[in-house]
Amino acid sequence: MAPGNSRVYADLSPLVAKGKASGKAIKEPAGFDLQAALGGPGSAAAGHARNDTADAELRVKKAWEVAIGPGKSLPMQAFMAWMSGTSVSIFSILITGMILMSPLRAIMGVQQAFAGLERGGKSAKVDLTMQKAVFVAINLAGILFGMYRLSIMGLLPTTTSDWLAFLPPKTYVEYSA
Amino acid sequence: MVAGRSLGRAALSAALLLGGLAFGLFPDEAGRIDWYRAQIGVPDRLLAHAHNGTTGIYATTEQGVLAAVDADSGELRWRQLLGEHIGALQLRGGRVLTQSGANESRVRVWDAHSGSLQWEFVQPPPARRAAGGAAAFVGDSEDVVAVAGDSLVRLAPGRAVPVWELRLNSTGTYRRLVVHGSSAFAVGERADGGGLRVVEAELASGRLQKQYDIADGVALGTGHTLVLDAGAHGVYVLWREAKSIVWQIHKLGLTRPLWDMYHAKLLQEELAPEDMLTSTLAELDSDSGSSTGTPRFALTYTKDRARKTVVIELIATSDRMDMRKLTVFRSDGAVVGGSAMPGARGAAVAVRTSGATWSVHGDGARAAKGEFAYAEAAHGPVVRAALYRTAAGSTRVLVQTGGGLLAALGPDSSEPLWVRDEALAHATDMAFLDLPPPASAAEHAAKATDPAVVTSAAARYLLRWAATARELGAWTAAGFGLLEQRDKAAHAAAATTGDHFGFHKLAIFGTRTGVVTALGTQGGARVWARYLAVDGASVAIEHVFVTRRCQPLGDAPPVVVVVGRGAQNATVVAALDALTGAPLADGRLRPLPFGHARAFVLPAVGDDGQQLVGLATDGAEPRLEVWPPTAAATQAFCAAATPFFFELGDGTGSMRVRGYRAECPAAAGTSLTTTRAWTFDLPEGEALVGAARYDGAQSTALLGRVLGDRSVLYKYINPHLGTLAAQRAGRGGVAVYLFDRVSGRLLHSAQHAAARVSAAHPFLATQTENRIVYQLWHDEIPGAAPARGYVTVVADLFESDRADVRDERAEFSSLDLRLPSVVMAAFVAPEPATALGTTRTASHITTRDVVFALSSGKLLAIPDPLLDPRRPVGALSADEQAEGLVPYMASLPLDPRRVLSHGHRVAGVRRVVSAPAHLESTSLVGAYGLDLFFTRASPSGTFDQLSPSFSKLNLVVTTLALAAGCLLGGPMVRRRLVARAWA
Repeated sequence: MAPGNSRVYADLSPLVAKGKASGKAIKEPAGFDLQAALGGPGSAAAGHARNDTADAELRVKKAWEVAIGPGKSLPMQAFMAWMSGTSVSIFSILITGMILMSPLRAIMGVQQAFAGLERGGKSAKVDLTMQKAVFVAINLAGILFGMYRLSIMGLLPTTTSDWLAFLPPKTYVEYSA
Repeated sequence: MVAGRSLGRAALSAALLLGGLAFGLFPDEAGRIDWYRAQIGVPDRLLAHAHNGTTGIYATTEQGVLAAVDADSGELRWRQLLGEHIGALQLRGGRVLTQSGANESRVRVWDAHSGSLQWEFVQPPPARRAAGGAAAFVGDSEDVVAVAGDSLVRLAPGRAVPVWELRLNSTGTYRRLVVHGSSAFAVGERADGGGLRVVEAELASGRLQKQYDIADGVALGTGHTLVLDAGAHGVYVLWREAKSIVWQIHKLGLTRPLWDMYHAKLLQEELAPEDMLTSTLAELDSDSGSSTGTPRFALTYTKDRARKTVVIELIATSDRMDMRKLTVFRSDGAVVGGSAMPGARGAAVAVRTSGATWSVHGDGARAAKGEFAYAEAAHGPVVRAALYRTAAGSTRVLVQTGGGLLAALGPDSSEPLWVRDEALAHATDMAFLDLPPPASAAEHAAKATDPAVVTSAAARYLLRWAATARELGAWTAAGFGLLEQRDKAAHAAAATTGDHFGFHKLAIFGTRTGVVTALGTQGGARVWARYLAVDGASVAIEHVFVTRRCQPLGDAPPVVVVVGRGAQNATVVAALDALTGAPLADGRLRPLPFGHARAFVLPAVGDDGQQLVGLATDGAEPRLEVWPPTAAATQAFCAAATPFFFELGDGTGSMRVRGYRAECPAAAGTSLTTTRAWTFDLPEGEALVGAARYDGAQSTALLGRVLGDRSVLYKYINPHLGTLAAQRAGRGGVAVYLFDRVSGRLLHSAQHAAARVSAAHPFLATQTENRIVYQLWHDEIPGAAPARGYVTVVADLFESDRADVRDERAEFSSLDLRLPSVVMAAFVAPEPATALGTTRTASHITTRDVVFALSSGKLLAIPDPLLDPRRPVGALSADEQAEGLVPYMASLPLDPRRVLSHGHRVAGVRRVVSAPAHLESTSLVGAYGLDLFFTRASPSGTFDQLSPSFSKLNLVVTTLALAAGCLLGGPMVRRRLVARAWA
């Protein structure tokens, strides 16, 4: 290390020696890049590729967890919806609004939800399209559930009576007195 | 800056609040929200009677009312609604005797002070024709003799059967009864119309003494006959036969005329024979049974084109009866009357309409005269005059005008001592006029800134500001709107200015007595009145139409058109300024050269913005006359309302209703020919007993009815829907037909086998939107109808009996219509009704109440859900619950909370009317007939008004507290935000 070098670094070489001395292959923690830690390019090049693969798998696994996360809250929402009943009241409307708004908000923020997992450090971008699709699908299911709630509460304009007010009156051809 | 914004917000809130206060509704409008006027009708007999130190004026009226009016104040002391023709009235010693009823005859004695019934006698309907009616007290006893039914009877209080009864065997129509000595004399017109017949019965036993004829070709009460009771000297009948110049005098009890009397002797003046033929007699002592010993009468004659009246007294000389001339006076244009009170001095009163003067003529010394303030244009000429004396001894003149005004005049003041306007008891039609709201700054601005008036934008801007400044100035001058305006002109303007809520309108009535009167619906004060007459005869008004509304931005006055009949049934149409009552056309009112069968507003507007009026004439070739009778109006009608249909022949008793189509003339003209479009023949043996159609234009908020499952039953809305009720002659029963008035097509019929319609149980109906409500009397029929009573039937018309099925055509033509699906239900009415009406609101979003005017004088509003024919029997399903249906109950409740008239007895209601206010929740409801009553109804509750418990103070305090919080908290929050940014 040349004097005057202002780089501050931690000397992590004992970790390498220790590992080799004991003869045990200690798996490095996820995301730990020894080469990067040691600061020397080209060192531990063999483990680098192996770590990248593990990292990608891990990201995919985490992404799946994120993707099916909303599904876990669905039963809870259904229970709350059942508890609030189908009558039009402030409570049931609030619950239904929540059921509708949270998946909508989640769908809007789908990129942000997966951003950390999709691209991390120097590793290659992981393709999370499937996870995103599942995430969106589950949230869509939430929206559908919300719509169903609206429907059974009678808040969806799906019947003739909902359009009655817009019906134009007839014109009368004849006059009488 | 924040503080400034907060201040601005607070100021805005305060401004909004003040605005809210100015437009709020307050509960202290009691007496303005609803008002009531008890009336008696136009009297046909007026008698004054003093008893126990009080004088009352007792009247019987054409409407079958017996009433006592305070002689000093004109206030109604009591009234009894007999509801039948009153044939006799006599007063003795604090008792009132009446005979009423033509068929079933009732003789009643009432307490003059309280009006309570002392005793009565009911004579069942005679087997043969009824023979008039009369009644008289027997001397000073409690007994009464009366012509009741076809008998002469003597009655005594406390006896259920007559003391004696003498059958008259339909020999005549006896309308005069005099008790003299030991005999009772009944005088009447002979059954064959040949003259008068006298029946003399012995008072003690009822034995027929004599029965003979006098006075050939003469009838009672025509000005050619008089009955004079000279007390101990006998009773005399005075008459002059047609084309005879000699007056004949007959003493009752003798079988031939006693002596003749010549004009020259009576008048001490020679008359030409033709003048003798025009002379008439008038009774001066109105109470026919009051025996003064020296009866007086007036003889009026014309000599040298001057009309003179002689007051003559019948006196007994030493050996025989003689006539003495008391006084003679000029009576041109005067109504001559006598004393309404036995024994009152001053024999005759002459009241002149022109000049509004009165003069009393008697034995010279007591002559008095006076003037009175009087608006002939509003009340018509004086038609009756009488003299009476108050308990304090002062002489009063009682006048009655052709319009129906009663006024008491005194010698000391030209202002009447009291007046009673009884014209409205004879109202035949009424119309509401919406008044323009108070001219606000915004309206000034709208008027000032109409681009059509002022083209320059800058000028409009300045005008708008000027208008606002003017308004502000006026408001400040009026004590910020808190001071009451006492200025008379301002008060008059207020009477014809509406309010922001549309509660204050003009109710314009047309009456049978020829008076058109506008009353303010808030408080009921009279705004104007006008008496309509053609050639001296009052116009019997039948219809009142508002043909031009108030135009807030225009200067053309609103117009009310009244249609009536003059002499010989000729149609008379008058157009009046609806705010002042002034006639719009110059010149005298003239009868039109035809008599109308029906009159209606046409769906067309003339050049002057007035709606046109149609007058249909009946006959071999019915015609439609357009009013105003101008070619332009006819052209406007033909351009706007073709094809036009109307029907004739739906009156009571008709068996055929005919529909006509108006044909527009090729050449200019005011009259349209018609072609017969259809004929609606009732089944054999049926005759019409009632008909109904929509009352004015209808509008609807929702075209369908939403069911529990949110599907829709579409309403069948046909503006040409008509209802007919026909009674079968033989086995009875009433059929109700719903038909189309353009095509004559039967839409639906309902049979009521147990129903019966008569004058006592009329058919009543009201049509609104797709609903018809009618009431019928049902007799008990074993095995068929469970009970006697009034049944209310409700029929709702839908396009289909299946939900969501609709006739999709955008145009509705009666000539190609589909039959409706009718849902009906019957309910037991709580009480008999005399009229039905329906509440109307501005947008028809509020449900409608059906208002029943009950014969007990209540106005009962039955809410829409209770009259729903879809009310299910048994338990409600979920869908029915969701639809808001109420389980069916046969009887309609008489819920005291739904009685609009509160404690008032609104008697004799003939029609219930309604007009919308500007507030959707509220409807103005009026009822008229004998009495008048107005109120407001909110069928769905006052959902758009603040409740009386709403605390404005709380609102003000809360708003001020919030404003103060903003003001104080603003800088603190700002400081904290800055501090947090630095941390």
